[in-house]
Amino acid sequence: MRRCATLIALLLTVAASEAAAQVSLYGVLGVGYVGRPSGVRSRSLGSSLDAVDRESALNPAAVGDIARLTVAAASITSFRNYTVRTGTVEDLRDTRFPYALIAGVIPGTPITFAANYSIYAERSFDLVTLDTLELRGDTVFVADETSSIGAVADIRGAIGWELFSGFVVGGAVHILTGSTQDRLTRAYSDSLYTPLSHESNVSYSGFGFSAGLLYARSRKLRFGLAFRSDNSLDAVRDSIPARQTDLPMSVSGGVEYRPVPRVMFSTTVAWTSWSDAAADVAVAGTNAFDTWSFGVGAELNRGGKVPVRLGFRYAQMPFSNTPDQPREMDLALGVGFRAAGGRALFDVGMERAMRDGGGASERAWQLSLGILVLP
Amino acid sequence: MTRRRSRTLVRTCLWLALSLVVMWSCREDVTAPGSCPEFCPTRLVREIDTIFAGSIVNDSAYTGYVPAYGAAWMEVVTGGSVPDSRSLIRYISFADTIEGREILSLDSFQVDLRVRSVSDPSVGLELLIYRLPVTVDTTTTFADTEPWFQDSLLVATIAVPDTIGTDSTVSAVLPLSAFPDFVADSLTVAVGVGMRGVSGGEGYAHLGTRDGGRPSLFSSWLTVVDTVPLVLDSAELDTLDLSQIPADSMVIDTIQVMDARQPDMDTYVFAGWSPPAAEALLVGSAPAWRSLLRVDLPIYVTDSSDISRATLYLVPSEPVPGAPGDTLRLRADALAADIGAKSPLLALPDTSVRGAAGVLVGSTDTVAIEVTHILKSLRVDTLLPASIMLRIIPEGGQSGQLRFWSSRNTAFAPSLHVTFIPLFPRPEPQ
Repeated sequence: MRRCATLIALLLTVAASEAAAQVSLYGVLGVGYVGRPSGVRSRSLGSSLDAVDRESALNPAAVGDIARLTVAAASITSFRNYTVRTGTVEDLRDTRFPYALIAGVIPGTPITFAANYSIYAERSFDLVTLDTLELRGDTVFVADETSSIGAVADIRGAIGWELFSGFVVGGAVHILTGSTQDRLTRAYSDSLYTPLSHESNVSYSGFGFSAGLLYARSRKLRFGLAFRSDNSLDAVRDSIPARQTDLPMSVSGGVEYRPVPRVMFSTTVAWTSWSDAAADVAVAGTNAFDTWSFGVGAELNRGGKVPVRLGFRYAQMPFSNTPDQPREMDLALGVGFRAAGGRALFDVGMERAMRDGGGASERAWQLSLGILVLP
Repeated sequence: MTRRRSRTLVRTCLWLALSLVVMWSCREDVTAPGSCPEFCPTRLVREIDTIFAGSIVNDSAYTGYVPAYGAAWMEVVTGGSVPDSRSLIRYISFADTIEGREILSLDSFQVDLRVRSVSDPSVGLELLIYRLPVTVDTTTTFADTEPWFQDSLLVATIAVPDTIGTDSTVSAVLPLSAFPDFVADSLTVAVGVGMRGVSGGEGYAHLGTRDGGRPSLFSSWLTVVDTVPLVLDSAELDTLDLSQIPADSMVIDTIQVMDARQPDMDTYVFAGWSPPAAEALLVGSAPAWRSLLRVDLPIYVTDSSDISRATLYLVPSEPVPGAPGDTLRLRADALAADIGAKSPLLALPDTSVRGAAGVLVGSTDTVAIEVTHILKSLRVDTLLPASIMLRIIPEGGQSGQLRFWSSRNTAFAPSLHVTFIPLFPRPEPQ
């Protein structure tokens, strides 16, 4: 338990720096860099377990897999570099706290519940651009720094109901909330122009629901299917309505297969209609595309002690300022540890993320740390 | 047992390594160059650059702020120029003793002038010192001085050296005959200072004043009685009967000392200017004029935009009158309150809130003065009046005057050129 407490302290330390995190260069576009509702275990499997994973926030029916009170949290640290045209930026580093869960069983009923926190869209970035303006007949160089710190969080309340053995249906409501601290500064090469600084607070709100089912045909094979729809993301800047972005609906499905007890394979496929937001983001010259994502993974459990996980994920990203739709590929590797007599589970994952398209190429190492406690 | 130990050691090392990685990764490093247009959130920032005609309203000009005798400078301009400025200085009276010593004789006089700035001295300039009646005072007019600035009353000429710098002192020693009525005038002296171009060139000089903390000085060289202790050399010690000489014996001697006086009045007079056009506003000259301009910009500029640059344009109604070659330093100040002529200037510790511009005498070019910080202050403190006070610095120190068309002249009215970024609608990075 002492090690458990140590890791929780470390996670809290990391969480404290979450506010300044930046996930991806692509967070500049659209509603931001769209988050993954995956726990660390599923991330290590290329998010292939999301459709049937009790820790992931994709399928509310997967909550039915919860057998007792469960608390989980995770942190992710990224080490990134990216290339835009011929310019390369290296050694970017950030840490965030993208996931938390509390779940349990309503005593005496076949109903389970879960409350999740996950990142819906990450909007943290700090970009410096240089440009020239024609002002009063002269060319004036300007240096702009645009920063946004914050994210849109997805707070999910879900219940699962085991209708009959092996068949669980679930439903969830999603409250989208969050805020960003935006700052724009502009400095001029001509000292006759005074530097500018805009600061504002943008708050976001939205609402959605999801439904799903989980079917365990046997101990070897489980299926998950989920549907989600969100209405719109309303942004209010300094108490003044700023914009509204239609949010997509999504359909996802996945399979978990255990040919032998120590080996598990999983896959999840999801489609999201991000083109619903096209008209709203087009104001800024941004294109929105529907997205497909696909993940496969395998978990090898040597004697049930330290499972080793491998995963691959391919996902399209929804926003681009060019006609080219960006996409992401992730290679993942992870392990899990048990502690405190099985009452605490620690998951560690390392991902290699490769994002390309839309005029940029981004590479990142992502270290995920997760803890799940069964009090 | 050994195997168990080694597993424990491995686990401990793994936890330690994990902890170190987590602690190390807590450092954030997220600032990065963007790239336009692909990843450029500021590409939608609209920088608007517009001249707002009719943005200055209800403008007025007032005078009487600083008279010539209260200015930090005095002006002298070469005779024959327009204007012909002359400085008038009356010094504090001398006493008939100096530090209790008897004055044996008055030997000579010396006048020291502090030259704050001067036009190009290479044309050959001379400062001319005239003897003035001690009745000269602050009410003396240029016409009153005409009989005094004659060659017959010229007492000294000081050549302005080519190497003269700013805030320099030039001096002249005058004989006693320069002021024959010195005693009759109760040991009081008044001088006038003019300027002459040796080869007919024109020029000007700004002289320091009592109010500017750089007064001229008028000194008299005197021979006075002095006493010193008796000192005997060895030969005298051998020959004198020391018992006959008291221990505290003194001997009487004479020494030459200087007694200096500051002005009790220093001012300058000039011929004056022709009347301005009916629709013109005035700034500068002496007594000093100020012009009060009220700003009438759209509220979306003053309240809902970030102003990066604001320039006030003034169109002279005539060539700027003043000393040939001189430059007037125009200053724009914000006001703490707009109560007309007596509006208090905004006393901010940051002097950058004031705009400044140089106005060349004789020019008819449009005067541009930066007022960015004044307009920016309006959004910071919404209680501040949207007004600008124009004045020439130092006030009352130069005869020159900027005359520009007021808002009544719709064709050449003052205008504001503003570069700004609207805050609303805000650019949304999406």
